[in-house]
Amino acid sequence: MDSYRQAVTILPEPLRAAALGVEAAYMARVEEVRLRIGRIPALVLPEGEKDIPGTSAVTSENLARLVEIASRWSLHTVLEQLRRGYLTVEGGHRLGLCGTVVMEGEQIQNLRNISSADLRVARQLRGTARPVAGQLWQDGQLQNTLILAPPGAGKTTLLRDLIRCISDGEAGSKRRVAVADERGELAAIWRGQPQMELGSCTDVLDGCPKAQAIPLLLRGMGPQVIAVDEITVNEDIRAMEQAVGCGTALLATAHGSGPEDLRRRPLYREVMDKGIFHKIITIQVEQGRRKLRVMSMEELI
Amino acid sequence: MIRLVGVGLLWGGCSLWGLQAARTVRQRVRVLEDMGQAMELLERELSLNRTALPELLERLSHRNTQQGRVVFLLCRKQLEQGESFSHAWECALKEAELDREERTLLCGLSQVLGKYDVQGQTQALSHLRQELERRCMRKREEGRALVRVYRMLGITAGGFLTLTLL
Repeated sequence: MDSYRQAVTILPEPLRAAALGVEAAYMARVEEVRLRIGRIPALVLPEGEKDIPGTSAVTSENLARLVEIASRWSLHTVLEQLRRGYLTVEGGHRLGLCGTVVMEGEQIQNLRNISSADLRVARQLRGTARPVAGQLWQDGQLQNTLILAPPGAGKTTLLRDLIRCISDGEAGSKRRVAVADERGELAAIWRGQPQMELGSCTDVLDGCPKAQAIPLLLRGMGPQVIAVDEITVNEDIRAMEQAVGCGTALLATAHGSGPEDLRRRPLYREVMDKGIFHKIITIQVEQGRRKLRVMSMEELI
Repeated sequence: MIRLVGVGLLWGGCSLWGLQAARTVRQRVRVLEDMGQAMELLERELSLNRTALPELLERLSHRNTQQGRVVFLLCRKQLEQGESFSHAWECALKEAELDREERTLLCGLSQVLGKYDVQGQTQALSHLRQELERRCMRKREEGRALVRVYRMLGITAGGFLTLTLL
């Protein structure tokens, strides 16, 4: 099934019918579907937002039903994700949510009165990583690599294809890749079956926080490469250090508009100071086109 | 000869009615027992595996008797069509042979199942299961007497009618 069509199946009627009624030319280019209470639903295209024709303003009932369908009528299965402001749905599509946060002490307990939602369409773009995959090797060894780009630039899509390339031996020799897929976006596992192609030598542990998943993978799967999406907390860095100490190569992504952001944010400064990564791939979007650039850490310093 | 056949049919028909009524009583107890067991399974699956509702409903439909199977399958089907769980569950319960009180009791589950954390749901399931067990026990005791009454009533009514008409 086409990614867009699959993603919008979680929309409640009549939004679903309207979203499925847009022109096919748009469907192929839609990056996100935005729902804001009291506003007309919009498609996010590379050139900007466009209202979905034939729809009325989004209601609170629409959004409540959306969460019900996206959680598969089972809030208990997604509560942890919901506390972080998103849900990953079948196909690896991500539903970001905004509303009123319910706090308990310093912990986020829940999100209620959902006021807007952002459905990001996950796509497998085979070949995206080919131009850069070959540059990540040195003396026959895959270098620890960090993909750095702002939100929505395609970090996850690039990482997914990089995993596939390395696992299938399209760049260098075949490597056993273990994926710590905390948010379920990389492999989009559905009933144990990955829906995204991650290569023939890839093992996926999904739904587990990275800091706990990395030691599990090291102990259980004997990986040559470990891939993780979005470094967000210090614990992730501790676990990655452990992996590097075991001689395993790392692939990871981080939010940032450019290498200078690595120095600005304390979390990433620590990554740089510890010398965990040797290569950095940046993604820049210019006029709807993505430009990839590989830099070595020495070059950056 | 025709008279004898008529007598047989009349008696048989009344007896059958009595047996059928007795069967319905037993069936209602069985549905309650099944629902109680389903609640227990839901409780376990939620606390151990945090299974999603559509999978739970599917699993329950394989483990249940005819009526339970219909309820759980119908509910799952409605969810697939994008209905809310409350609506799907209430519609599906209409298919089960339950009295109004029991149906209301089970309908209440739609306000909890899939809408709270695991602890909140298992607590509600545990209360519901205990209530169902109480009702089931009461119904079983009442049922034992009722089954005998219906059976006897059918047979004697058949006999009485035959004698009257002869």
